[in-house]
Amino acid sequence: MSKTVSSEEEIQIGNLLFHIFNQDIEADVNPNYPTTRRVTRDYEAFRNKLGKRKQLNLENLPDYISNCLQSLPLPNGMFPMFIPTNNSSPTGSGEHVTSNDVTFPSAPATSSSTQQPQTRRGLGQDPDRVLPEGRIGAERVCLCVSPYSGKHDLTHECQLRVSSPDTVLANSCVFRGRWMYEITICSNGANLQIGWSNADCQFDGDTGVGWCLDSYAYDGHKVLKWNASIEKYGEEWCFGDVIGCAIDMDDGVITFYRNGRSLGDAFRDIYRGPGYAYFPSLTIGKDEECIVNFGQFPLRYPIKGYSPMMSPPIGELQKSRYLLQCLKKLVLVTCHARHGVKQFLHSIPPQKIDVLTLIIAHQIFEHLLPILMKRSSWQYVLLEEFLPICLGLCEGVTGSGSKSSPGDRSPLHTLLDTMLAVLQESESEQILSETFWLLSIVGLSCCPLTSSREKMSWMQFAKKLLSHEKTLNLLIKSPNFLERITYILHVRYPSQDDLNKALPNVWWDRAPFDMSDSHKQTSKDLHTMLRELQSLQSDIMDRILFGDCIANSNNFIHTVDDDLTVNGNNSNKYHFSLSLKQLVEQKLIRSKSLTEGFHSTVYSTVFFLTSLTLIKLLTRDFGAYHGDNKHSMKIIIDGNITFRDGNYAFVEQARCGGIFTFLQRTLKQDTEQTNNRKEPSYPLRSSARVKKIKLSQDSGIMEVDVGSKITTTRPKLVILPADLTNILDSIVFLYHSAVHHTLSMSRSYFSTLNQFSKSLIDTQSKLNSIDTLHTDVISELELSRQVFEKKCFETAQMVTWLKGHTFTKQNFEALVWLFRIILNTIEYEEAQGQQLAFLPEVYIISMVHLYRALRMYFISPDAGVEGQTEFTECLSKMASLLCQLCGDDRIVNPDIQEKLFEALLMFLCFSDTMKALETQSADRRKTLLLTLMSSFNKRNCIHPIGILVRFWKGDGFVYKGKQTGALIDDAISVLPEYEFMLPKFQPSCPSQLFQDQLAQICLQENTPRVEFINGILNQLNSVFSEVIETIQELQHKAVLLNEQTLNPRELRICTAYYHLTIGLLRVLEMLSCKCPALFLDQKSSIAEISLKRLMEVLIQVWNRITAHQTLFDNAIRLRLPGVESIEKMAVLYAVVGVILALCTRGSKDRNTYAIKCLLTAPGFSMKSVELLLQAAHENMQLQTRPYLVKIGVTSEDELLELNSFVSTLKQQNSTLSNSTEAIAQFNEDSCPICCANAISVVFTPCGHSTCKECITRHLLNSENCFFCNQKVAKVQDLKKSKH
Amino acid sequence: MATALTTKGNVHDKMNISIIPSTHHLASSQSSPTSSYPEDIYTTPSTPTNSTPPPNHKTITLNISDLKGRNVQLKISPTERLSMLKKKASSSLDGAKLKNCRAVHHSGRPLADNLCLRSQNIQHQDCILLLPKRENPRNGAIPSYPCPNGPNKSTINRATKHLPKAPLTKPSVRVPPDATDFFRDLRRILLTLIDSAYLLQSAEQLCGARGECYDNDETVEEMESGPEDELAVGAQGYEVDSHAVQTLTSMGYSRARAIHALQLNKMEVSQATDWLVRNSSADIPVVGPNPSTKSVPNKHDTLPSKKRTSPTSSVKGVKSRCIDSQALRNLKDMGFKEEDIIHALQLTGNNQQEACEWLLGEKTEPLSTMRLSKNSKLYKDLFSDPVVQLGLTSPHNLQVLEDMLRNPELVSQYFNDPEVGPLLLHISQITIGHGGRIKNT
Repeated sequence: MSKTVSSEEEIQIGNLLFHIFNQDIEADVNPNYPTTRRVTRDYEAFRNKLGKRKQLNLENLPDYISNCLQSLPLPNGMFPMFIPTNNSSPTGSGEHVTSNDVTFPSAPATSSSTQQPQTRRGLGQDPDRVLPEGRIGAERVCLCVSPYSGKHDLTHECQLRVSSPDTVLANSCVFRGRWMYEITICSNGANLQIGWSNADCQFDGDTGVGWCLDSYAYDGHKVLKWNASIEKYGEEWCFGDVIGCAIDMDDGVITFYRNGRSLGDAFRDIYRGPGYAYFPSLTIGKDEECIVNFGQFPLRYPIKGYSPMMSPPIGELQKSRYLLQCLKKLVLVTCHARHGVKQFLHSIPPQKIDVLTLIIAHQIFEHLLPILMKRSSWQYVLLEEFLPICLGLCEGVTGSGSKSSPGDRSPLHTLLDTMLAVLQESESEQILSETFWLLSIVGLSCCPLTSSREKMSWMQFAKKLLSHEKTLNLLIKSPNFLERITYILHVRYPSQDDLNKALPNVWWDRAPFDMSDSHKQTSKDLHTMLRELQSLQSDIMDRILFGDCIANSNNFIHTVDDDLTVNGNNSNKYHFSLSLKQLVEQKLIRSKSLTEGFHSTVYSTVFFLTSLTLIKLLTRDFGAYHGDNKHSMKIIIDGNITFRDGNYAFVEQARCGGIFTFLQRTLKQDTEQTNNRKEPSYPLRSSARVKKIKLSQDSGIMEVDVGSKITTTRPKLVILPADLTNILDSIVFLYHSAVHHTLSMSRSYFSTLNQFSKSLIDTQSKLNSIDTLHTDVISELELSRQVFEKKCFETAQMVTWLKGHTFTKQNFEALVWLFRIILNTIEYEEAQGQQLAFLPEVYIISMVHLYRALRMYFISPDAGVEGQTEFTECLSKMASLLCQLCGDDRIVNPDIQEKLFEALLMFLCFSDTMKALETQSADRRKTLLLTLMSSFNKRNCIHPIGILVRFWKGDGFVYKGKQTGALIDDAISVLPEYEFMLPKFQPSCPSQLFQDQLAQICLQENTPRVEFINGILNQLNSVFSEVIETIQELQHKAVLLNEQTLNPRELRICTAYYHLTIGLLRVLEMLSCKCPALFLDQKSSIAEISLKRLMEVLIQVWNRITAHQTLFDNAIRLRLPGVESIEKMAVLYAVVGVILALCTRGSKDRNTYAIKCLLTAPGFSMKSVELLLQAAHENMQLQTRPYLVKIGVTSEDELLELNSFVSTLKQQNSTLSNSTEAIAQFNEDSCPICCANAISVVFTPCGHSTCKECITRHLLNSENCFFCNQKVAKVQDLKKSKH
Repeated sequence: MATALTTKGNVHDKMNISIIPSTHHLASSQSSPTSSYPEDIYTTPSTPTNSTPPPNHKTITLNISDLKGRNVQLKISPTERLSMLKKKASSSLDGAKLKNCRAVHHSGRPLADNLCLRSQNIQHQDCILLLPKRENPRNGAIPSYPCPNGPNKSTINRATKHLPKAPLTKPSVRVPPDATDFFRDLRRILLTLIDSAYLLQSAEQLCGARGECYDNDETVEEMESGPEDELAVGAQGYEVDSHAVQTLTSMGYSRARAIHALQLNKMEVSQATDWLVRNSSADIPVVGPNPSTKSVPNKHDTLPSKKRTSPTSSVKGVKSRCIDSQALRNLKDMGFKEEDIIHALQLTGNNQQEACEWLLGEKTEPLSTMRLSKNSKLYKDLFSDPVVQLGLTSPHNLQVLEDMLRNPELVSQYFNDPEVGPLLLHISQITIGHGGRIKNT
């Protein structure tokens, strides 16, 4: 049956073999190479070399190949040796020079016989093996089981991550020579000490490396070195740094290196001698992660003179290099043959070439596989040999001449195909995933600023690797896939070092020198580079997520499970959604500490890339279908898949209505009802027109017209399939737990720069103007100037980087997109009735956060909020949600409510968002106002006050300051979450609409109004009392006890209360202006009581503040830290504002009535009025004092108004005092509460009696009797009952 | 034939259409034109292995190769499973060793045994390669990482016994000579910081006296928005209430004395009166700053004093600010020199008792130890830190630092303060690692 190969074929095959296995020939195939004569000659030469067989045919080919491999001049019995030709290998260690250029040795090399490791294979596992170089331990160095906890958690052979703080040692120690190992930090590195320790050291959960005398450690977070005592050492490390730990046992020196740069000798004269040998050791805290390299793969930054703990496997490297070169040539030849450039194979049919290739490849892999799978050396071989070969094959076939056909694949893909064919699945999976892991480490430690080319080439390679479908399918299922791909994709934040190298010239606003031009150029270059990186990133991500739904008809390999892909359970998206969910769960939800610091930037990368890719896909699919991308803006996250489904992984997440199990129980019926409706289930389904569109096999996107019959404004919503929904949901979590923090952290650099550049200018100006006599002052100033300048420079470098990397237009769009989806989702959920309770709280928080991020973090010219129509739409949607959700009782968590109020407050600080609120329907606005009004009796009312004041701010008396001046905001700034002060400095934007509507509600709705006024007055009373009390205490302590030890917290609370007082007064001013009938309606008894109460409180405030030589003035003069912003005029003007509104704005009758009430209020004194006037005049003159700008300055008109009012007051007072009735003497008929009026009512059933006014006031706050606390059923008028 | 194919093809899943061999290939095979496929390729009961397929089935010809290069051509129905093909091939190709083979399509695609040829897209005249299965693949399970143990102590001892003894004697405990910890050295650090802060802030005053260093730039305004004038008003830090001064002068005291008394007594008029009565003979500049260097404390005169304060006096002023005036008075009454007393009070943290003992005893601690040396590493670390430098420019922080110096118990309180807390924490972080011992907490 066998078929003899014709002589033509024989020559060609022989030629091919010669070409592949002869090292003289370069790997790159020259298409012009085989002229017939030369071919024959080479072949003859080759035959002669082999010299044995006469016949060459397909049948004896394998023997032949074995022969080829064996009969070449081989040292050590099996494989050819190479003579190194240069030592410029970038990754090889100093001692063991490796090289990619090899020459064919003419004679067996005998020079290098120094590799004992290979010859003692049997001894390799012996843990007590002593190497003459000075190391004790097994051949393979790795981390040992922790002596303390007895375990170690390796996510990979070299990657350590522990569940509780632990100290881990290597399984090998050194007693002589110079050694090193490397650690790559894959977390914040906040709890990490690395170094060396002796076998005697005992570690437990509390002690670590460096705690005892015989251990030495470096902690780059605290920037310390540890050896029984601590001392400053080194630099601060960050995520992605490679730290080299070197020990010199000959001289007794330990040195640490950061990214290849020495940090100086950390320890000298470490103890050596009999019994002393040091183990590489590290103490690692919870949630920290690092990669340890003892030489399993090439050191990233080898230090000359130091050897890695494990010597490189030279023999394996040489063998594999030769074999891989052969493989590379084989692949190239095959590729050329496929593209019609057959070279020496011109007369062999293509199928036979394929078979031939497979046979040869199989032979090569037979020899290669043992090396690639050998535990002690495979990482080294893969990184040092396999990766470069793969990288070399990344380029497409050159010189093929013909245009690439659809089935065109790069040689790398041919190599992968061949490998996957020849190797069994598990083998290739291991090799590929290990390669991928190595790739991720290399990719991680590349800083894009200083080695952008390198980073890009790795990313290119990853792209090629992942665009090979089968490989992607293998890899995506491997554990920790997402993490590894992230490490490759992540653009690491540069360290100060990198910044100095890449951005030597930066410039910032207000810099003391002008470098704007060169700075512009540098940042332009930087941005170009980053754009390039980002497009690569998104290509890779695109490939991973949607590679399998982009036309796969021409694929080289049809996967066997094609039909499974259709089901969607096996698609890349599905696997990706799983690993994303896993990442979010494991790293972000369970361990919160990870979200802080630079580590969270890694997750931001995932976030942005995933969202951008999703946007692209959805825009493409929808855009293609609908011809526009508007539809992708109506995406929601389907709550029926994500929130209400008990199977969903985030069950333990807090929901708006409480915990999930509780909701399931209480809302069982409701939920079942919803779920029983056929999918997709919507409350309005019966009347809704549901439209399903199957766009493509994979995206399967559905469009649902929700309730188009009910309300025409309701938009069409887009429901995504489950896997996409899950990805989106994970993205929301990702944003919440990592990205927002990263953004705010990044933004803080901008404010830091601002702050320090101000200080720099300030110091400079002082230096310029100071007298040269004051040398001590000058030297101090000079010192701080230098420090400030340095800091400015460094921050400016970072800011330049951030502008190009984080705050880009692209990222902004991604955030807007997510913002919109979240808004859509919440809006949809809100309409679901009780089902809203299932919505995770994260959604609401993220909505608020996203708004803040978009508003305040993206303020650069090319990526900002201004003029974004999309964003404006979002704002109006958010405004409507805020109106509805603030105070919504479906949301039970008070913190979330607080957040919503806070968001609303921030909304009101900007004129555009105020407009968005005003355009809401009247009903919505009313809901909001009622919520605000009712909240005065319930909770902490800081936010409602702030909100109401915002409606008014700008319209009040001495409250018109355009630039600054919202004192109520000071009170809010005390809250720690309020980290950004931007809204506070927004110009005021009063809302007539809301003012009017509030007045309207007050006039119409009886019950809320009464409660509202009562609530405000109560609050004002208690808050101001608190202020006075604290100030009294302060005065007492400061003056009488001569100590200034007031609790700063108390002082701040006092300040906050003070500002609340002003806020409340301003709200009252708004009410008196807009709705004076509340107080001046002479027919209503409630109004009368309110007016009396109001006047009482006002007079109290007035008297306390204006009274001369009283504690208030004095306390202010003490200028204690914490109460600086207390200023008497602010509160006085607010009081005056209320009084003027009531007493001068109405008709004459009304004014007289109000003034009379003021004058008769208890405690009123004309002196206070005079003092007020005086103070106002003083204040007018003091306008030049800069800090008064804060409070707002009286204008001439306002002062005139005040003057004329005071004169009216005086006049009225004198007329009134003439007719003053004698004050009733206290007798038995007097009311026991006020002692002023006669008893006029009696309560049933308890029978106590007071005057009517007092009890009406009392009953506003309580329904029980003033005296006996018995419930009052009825109040009976004595006079009436007598009659 | 073509029609038959298409109609039949429609019955099946569409996927399979492309798999049907093309007519071109079929032409060479000897199948009859009337052929049909079994109904379901997946559930085809395997045909008896030894019987040849019915002649009316279409067959395709495949080249089977093994690694030895042996080659066989087989005709087979595309509906057969691959295992069938392997069986056939092994009978033709010296089969004993082919049992554990896996099949690979010539394009490199691995083939599955249990699926039929057609569903795996094997076409006429394709080549199929049989590769031996390796016996011990790692089964694709996630590889565990066995970790060899490290050497034990005796091995280490054996291996290192010939080493020379290190020249050093092993110290029992290595404690750095100048062990520092934040709280112990707090006083020195605080004093140094206060000195520096005062100098920095006095610059403002010195420049302000010239009245020309600020333009009306918005930034400057913002920066100035704090109550800057307090420093100008006086080292005691209180604005003087003009009415209180009036009250006192009306009692017959001179204006300067009245102001001084008010300053000493924190504007409390009654106490100031008491003081004036008690100290009727005392000179005005008893304690602390020389009031004559301060601005005239007239409330309406809002501009800072134009009088040039000499820097040394201003520094002295701040020093005396931090001491307890009562203790100073008492000790002064005991006859000590004011300079010594101030020094002693500073050393002892305003503890009158200890200060007295110090004054009576030998004055061992020199004044220079009161502050950090400008050459010390800690000094350099502290003052090259931008956060610290920024903190020093704020009058508020200066006040806090003085507070802490006066009363060290306040330290922990201020550490929790959201405003100065971060600064203090920052300072303490800088100071650790300057020879501090590890605390066993």
